[in-house]
Amino acid sequence: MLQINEPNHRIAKEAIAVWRISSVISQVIVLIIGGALIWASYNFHWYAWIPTVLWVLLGIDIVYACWEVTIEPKLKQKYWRYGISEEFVKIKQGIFHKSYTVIPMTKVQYVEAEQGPILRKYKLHAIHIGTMTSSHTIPALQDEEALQLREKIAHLAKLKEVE
Amino acid sequence: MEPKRMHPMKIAFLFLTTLKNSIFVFLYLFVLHFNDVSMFIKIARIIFCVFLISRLIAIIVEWWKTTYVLTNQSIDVSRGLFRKKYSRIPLERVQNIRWQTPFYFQPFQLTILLLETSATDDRASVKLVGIKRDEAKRIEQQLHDFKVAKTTDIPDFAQKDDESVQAEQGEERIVHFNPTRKDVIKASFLSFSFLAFIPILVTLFKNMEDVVDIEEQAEGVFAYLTSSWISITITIFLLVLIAITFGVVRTYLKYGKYEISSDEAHIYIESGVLSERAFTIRKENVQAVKITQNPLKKLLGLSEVILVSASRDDDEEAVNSLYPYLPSKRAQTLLEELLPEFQFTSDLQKLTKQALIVRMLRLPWSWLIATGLIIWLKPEWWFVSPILFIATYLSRFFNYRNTRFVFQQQFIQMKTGGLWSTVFVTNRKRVIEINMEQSLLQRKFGLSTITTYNRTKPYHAETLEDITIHHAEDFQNWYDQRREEIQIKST
Repeated sequence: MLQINEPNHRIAKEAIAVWRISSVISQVIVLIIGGALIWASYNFHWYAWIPTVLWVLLGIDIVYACWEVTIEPKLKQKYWRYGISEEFVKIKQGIFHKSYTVIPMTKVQYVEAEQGPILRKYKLHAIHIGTMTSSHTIPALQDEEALQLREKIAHLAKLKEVE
Repeated sequence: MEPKRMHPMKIAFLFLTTLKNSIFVFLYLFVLHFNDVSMFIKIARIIFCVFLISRLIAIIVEWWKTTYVLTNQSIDVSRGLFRKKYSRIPLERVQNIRWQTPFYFQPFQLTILLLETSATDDRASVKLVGIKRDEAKRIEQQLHDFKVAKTTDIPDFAQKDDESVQAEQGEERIVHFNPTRKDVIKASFLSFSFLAFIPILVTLFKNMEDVVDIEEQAEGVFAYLTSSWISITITIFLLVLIAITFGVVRTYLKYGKYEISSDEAHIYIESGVLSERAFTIRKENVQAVKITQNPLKKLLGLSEVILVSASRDDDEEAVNSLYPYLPSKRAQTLLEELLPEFQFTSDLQKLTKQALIVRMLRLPWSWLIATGLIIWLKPEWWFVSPILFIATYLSRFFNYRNTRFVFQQQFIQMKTGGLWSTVFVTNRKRVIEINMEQSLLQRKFGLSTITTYNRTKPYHAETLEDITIHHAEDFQNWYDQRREEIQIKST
């Protein structure tokens, strides 16, 4: 969307697989709970409109799940960009709804690298960058790159402004 | 230094606050059910009295066990009977100072001093309830001295001769604003706004007639009042009169005596006829300035100036507002005098036609939901739907037409809202984060939404919708220049 000073670092390709796996897991949980509710609504004779609503919700969720597991991760990875300079952290993301955030380095309060089980499998780390007002995440970077980036931000963020 | 205790009037203050908060319970138990002898009311009354007594004891203990010490570096407060709590607030973290003097504190020369920091938890501010005015002045002076020592950054400050210190503190305070009688009358006039409620009241009374069975309540006061149009009119008239008087008196007590003054580093706001309030804010702690207007204020040419700072937004008593009924022209000149750091300009950009198209194309969700609810619950109120529809689109149009913005040099100015409008001004250094967004619809029309974040408690976000991509790029470039004006602390 914006042509100037754009961040140009991409996140790891493996992010696609990570997102797919975590989406599948959460969708399976949703299906189990939804199925149990529908079963209960018939078995315990809840109001007639309840199963109808549940079926509709479940239908919407299944359509959404297809999107979330197949196409979305690819596009999300394709459009994710971040950039670190001495002065700013820039994060750009979004498939349809695009968002672009600029944070002055001097306002960064903490930076941490995090690794859950799925990320570990693919040798990835997520980086969280926190300011006084908000927290931003770069979701998937190769281990080495992530740790280097963390060191770099931590080093640059040491400097504070005269207020 | 000896730990000090607050004046016993603190007990009165806290107990009155408790009473004020439980006024409805009191009215319910002892006025509305005055003749009620049922078990429930009896037990409830006993519980209420026990509550009041235990609260009183708790307050006395709190008063007895709370002490504070002011040192060169910090204020230490200790409290608690069984579980002792000590808190230490470093003086350098104190941002704003508030004085609050309820009228019954005045004969005792007492006041409430509130020292606010930028931290967000409840230990963030110290509230000294019921200290002598002289003591409060001393604390304020010490804070001031501390800041001066800090900012002048002279290591041998202690050896600085008294004269120069005196010169720093003795800076002339310039009074910028005292409301004239005309201003106060105008302000009171704004409390007439509830006159709009008269038609609503009338319909309400009429509906009551249908709902309440008058035959049964024939002897009730209510039935008497609603029995004829004359008595209804008189009742409403009286109610309105009471409300107006109440409004005028309240406005006068609050805004009749008011003074805005400043020196090199601070802005001082003092107000109140009976209960006094004072607010001191350091200019460097003002993150942004907002000028707001509602339709009525627009009509009267008044506006309210709000200082966006790290003070509590949720506190009703807070005087973040310079003066809610400033004549609009005066508001701008006043800001130029007080805070030259924030510059207003009238040379502003407008939104493009594309913005109007996009705004008209957006789905009116609240209207759809409201209409759905009306059809489902109250089909006979169908006429509300078209009214809402027209109101929604009219307000969209007004918002579009009134939106203005500019980013130039180190300033950003954004005007949003239609009938209720807000002008927001801040500068690049004070903006601690920016965000640009673009929805699918906006992309089709080459538009974008931008947001600035300022540091308050925890932050203040200001959003401007549907400016062109070109302007959004300007905005980003504008923010990129930030690096050239900040100074990095040497470590």
